Amino acid sequence: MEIQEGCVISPGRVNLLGEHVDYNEGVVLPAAIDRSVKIQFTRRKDRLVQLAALDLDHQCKFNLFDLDRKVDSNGNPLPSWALYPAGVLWMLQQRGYAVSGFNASYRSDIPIGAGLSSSAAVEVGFAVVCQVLGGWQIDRLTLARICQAAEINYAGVNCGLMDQFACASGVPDHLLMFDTRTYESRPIPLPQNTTLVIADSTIRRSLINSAYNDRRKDCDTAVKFYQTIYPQVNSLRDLSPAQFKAHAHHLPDEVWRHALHVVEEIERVERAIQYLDSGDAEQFGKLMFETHNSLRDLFEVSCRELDILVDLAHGFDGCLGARLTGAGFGGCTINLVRKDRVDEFIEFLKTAYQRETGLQANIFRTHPSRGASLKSSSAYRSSAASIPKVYAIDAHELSKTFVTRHGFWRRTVKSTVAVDKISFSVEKGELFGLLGPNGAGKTTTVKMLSTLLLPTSGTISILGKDIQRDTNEIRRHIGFTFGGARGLYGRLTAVENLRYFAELYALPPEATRRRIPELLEIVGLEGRGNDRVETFSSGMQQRLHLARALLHDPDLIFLDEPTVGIDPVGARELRTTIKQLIGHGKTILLTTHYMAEADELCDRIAIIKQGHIIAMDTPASLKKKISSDSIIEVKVEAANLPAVQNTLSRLDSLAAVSYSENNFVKGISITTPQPGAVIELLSPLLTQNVIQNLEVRNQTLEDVYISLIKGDIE
Amino acid sequence: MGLFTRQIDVQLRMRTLNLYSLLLWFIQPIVFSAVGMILSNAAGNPAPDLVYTVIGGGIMGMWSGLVFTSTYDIRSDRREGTLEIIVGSPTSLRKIEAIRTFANVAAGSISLIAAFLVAVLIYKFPLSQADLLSAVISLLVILFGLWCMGVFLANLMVWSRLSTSIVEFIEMPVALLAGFMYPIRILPAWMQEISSVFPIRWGLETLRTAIQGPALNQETLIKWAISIGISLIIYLLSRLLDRKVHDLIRVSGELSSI
Repeated sequence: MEIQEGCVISPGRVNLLGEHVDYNEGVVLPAAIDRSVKIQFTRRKDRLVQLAALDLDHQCKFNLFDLDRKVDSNGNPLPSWALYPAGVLWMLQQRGYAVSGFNASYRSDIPIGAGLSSSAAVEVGFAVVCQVLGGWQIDRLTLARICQAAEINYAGVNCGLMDQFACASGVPDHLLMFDTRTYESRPIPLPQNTTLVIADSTIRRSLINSAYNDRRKDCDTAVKFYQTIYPQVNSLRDLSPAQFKAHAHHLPDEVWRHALHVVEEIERVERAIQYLDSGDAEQFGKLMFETHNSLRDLFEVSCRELDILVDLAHGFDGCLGARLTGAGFGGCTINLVRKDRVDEFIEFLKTAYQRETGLQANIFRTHPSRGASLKSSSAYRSSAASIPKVYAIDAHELSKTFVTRHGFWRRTVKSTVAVDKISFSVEKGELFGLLGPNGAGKTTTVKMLSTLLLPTSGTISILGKDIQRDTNEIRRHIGFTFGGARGLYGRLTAVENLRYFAELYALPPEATRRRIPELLEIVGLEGRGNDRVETFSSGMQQRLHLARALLHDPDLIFLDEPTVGIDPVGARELRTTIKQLIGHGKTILLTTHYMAEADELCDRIAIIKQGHIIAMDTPASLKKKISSDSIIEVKVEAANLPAVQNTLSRLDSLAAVSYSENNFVKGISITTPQPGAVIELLSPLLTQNVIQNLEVRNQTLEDVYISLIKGDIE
Repeated sequence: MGLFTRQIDVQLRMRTLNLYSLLLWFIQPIVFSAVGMILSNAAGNPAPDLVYTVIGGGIMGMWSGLVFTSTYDIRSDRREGTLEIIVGSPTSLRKIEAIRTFANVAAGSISLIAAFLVAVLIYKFPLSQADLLSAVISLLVILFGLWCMGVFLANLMVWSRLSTSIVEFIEMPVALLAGFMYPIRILPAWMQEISSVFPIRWGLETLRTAIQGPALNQETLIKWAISIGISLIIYLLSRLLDRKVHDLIRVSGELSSI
């Protein structure tokens, strides 16, 4: 069952060893922590995403179709905090994953800017939200790589993969050995009787991005230099400390020091893994101190406060190791502390740090935790029980009878039932199709729903408003077009038409000035705004109709045969526009005679015949109605028909056969659950050219429609 | 105000500035004026009564133009498929009809102005005796009467396509009964009674009096009051019918029928 709402918890991460090696293809030792981002989400039917960053008290709403533009639903640039979740959604879509609209509010207890990957936690958390709502499967490495790509390409932050991988793949009570070259990983247990303590110096990083980029550049410079000596070198990982030191004096001083840290750190991690595997917490701790010294003296990313925290920890008997964690220049230290001394250590560090710096450090114990996961979910929206659902359209027992009178002296009255007690609902954000033959009652239904006709009986609620009582209010929120070229003033230009109708909808002049060029562009009529409408082709007029219907930015749009009379290219463009409208959160009721169009566009379809709805479901479910049989279409010359019929007579109950014909060619349609058997039977005729053509296809919506209209199925 | 100016703009460009309307407003008054003078000569009058012949022709042009445009507007909207869109918008059809009719009446006054110019410039009709203030007020009273009748006719047109023939049928009878081109007093008494229900009749009488000399007296004031009063009754009648008409068209579904 489709998940409608839930809560995703996405942890921050702390890196115990292997700092600044992730972009040098080294091995890192991070752990997901029990500080996390908690994301409450609810599925939307439309393509909008509404985010509330509760800690920041900021909100943002954007459209999944507009992610390329990095703008919110009002066209304003996305705020910087929203670039992280939006980037993930954008990247997922780029990679072909289905992303649905949702509302989400999130809160985090990960200190921001402290080097604990609060951004990666947000990214991974939202990727999991999308995964849950999309119902697709993805491995955690791929998910992390998507999040990394999003941060680099969308948020514009040049980052490694470690943060996202740790947030996505954390294992309780374990560190993660993650090889950033091969992407191999394995959990390694945290040494027994030890606890991790994070000490936030409360110093926040400044100029971190430029310093980070400088160091990445230095590493690249060193690699390029060593490639001239060791051609096989692709990254600093390919150099041993000895190889590096042998030629390091040729490098600029700063480059040499920065690169040396990386080379030694990579080697340190290798040793660290051995210590961890053997459960040697003390040796591992010593490497943490070494790393800090290297980060301070060689890589130059520490600061006074971090050094004080590490020095104090070093002087505490129960602390096995300490170092700065994260990019540096502030933020946190990570401390490996004996379990039985943790409280004492925290108290000591707090007091001593305040004494030394006058600052109050935020010090807390943490446990390696599980990666981002769905904490709770529901297939139903919890609010549904307490708040009555408001449908975009809710029609109940809707009927329309037209009465016509003839004659002057002897009046004859004729009643025609156009729509007979139909009931259906359309959810907000849904694209609902109404199909049926001519005279079935589609247009009458649309006209009743769009306030142009009064129903003879039944009730209609549009966007929660009563059609008879709140007619004018409803008209402000709906737009409609009726098929064909009528409905525009031919002697006026496109812009003049739109200006006039904008006045009818009381659009403010500023909005009119803004909307008209926007809409002309949306419907592909830019550059034709000042041409008289009478010079437009049917397709152009139809598109202008759509622009007219969208002028007042309606929530609900009725499109009555919008592609009728339009050439295939124009129809495709119009369908693209319709999809975009759904992406903008609009609800659309569409009538059409083109089954492929309905199949492509509609979430649900109602088929109406003689004023009655005879079927209503999703296109996929409707197709299932007619069975999963395949259809084999055979073309054969009239003279060869008996031979084919003779062969087909051996099919027995294997297939249903129907014939159609024109003057020269007979068409045979074979519906069968075993197409292979039928083709095998017919293949000799095909090779003998008795059969001109043979084509196998699945049941289409058109097959279902025809069967329903003919009454072949119920 | 935006709707007012935009509607006027659309009205003038879509409906008013076309050859047929120009014929109504310029050629028709000339034809009527010419016929009036021929009849006046045939009756043995030494000189034509320019007040009735020329200016009456102008009024005739205004009236015909109004009947034509008021009814044509809705027919045209039906044909172009825009009536449904207008009715389906949050702006009431009544408001749109009111503005359109205003545009039609304002455009129609060109006909009267043309007639005046013909009378003054070609026939040297003396305006030195005219009571200009009373003439202008009378003209405004006539225009108001025409506007109210135009709104009523437009409303009638929305109701049913069949009303087209009814509306067209009343064009000449009203012109004859309201005494556009001759004094009402020449009509039989019973016809004079009928003509008294047309507000234009009263305005026309005061306009003619004002053109010929001082007219600001009690009788003129009463006639203005009668004209305005009848106009208001017609307008209120349209308002009363308005809701009914709106519901009827939503029941019959004739908005898009041609």
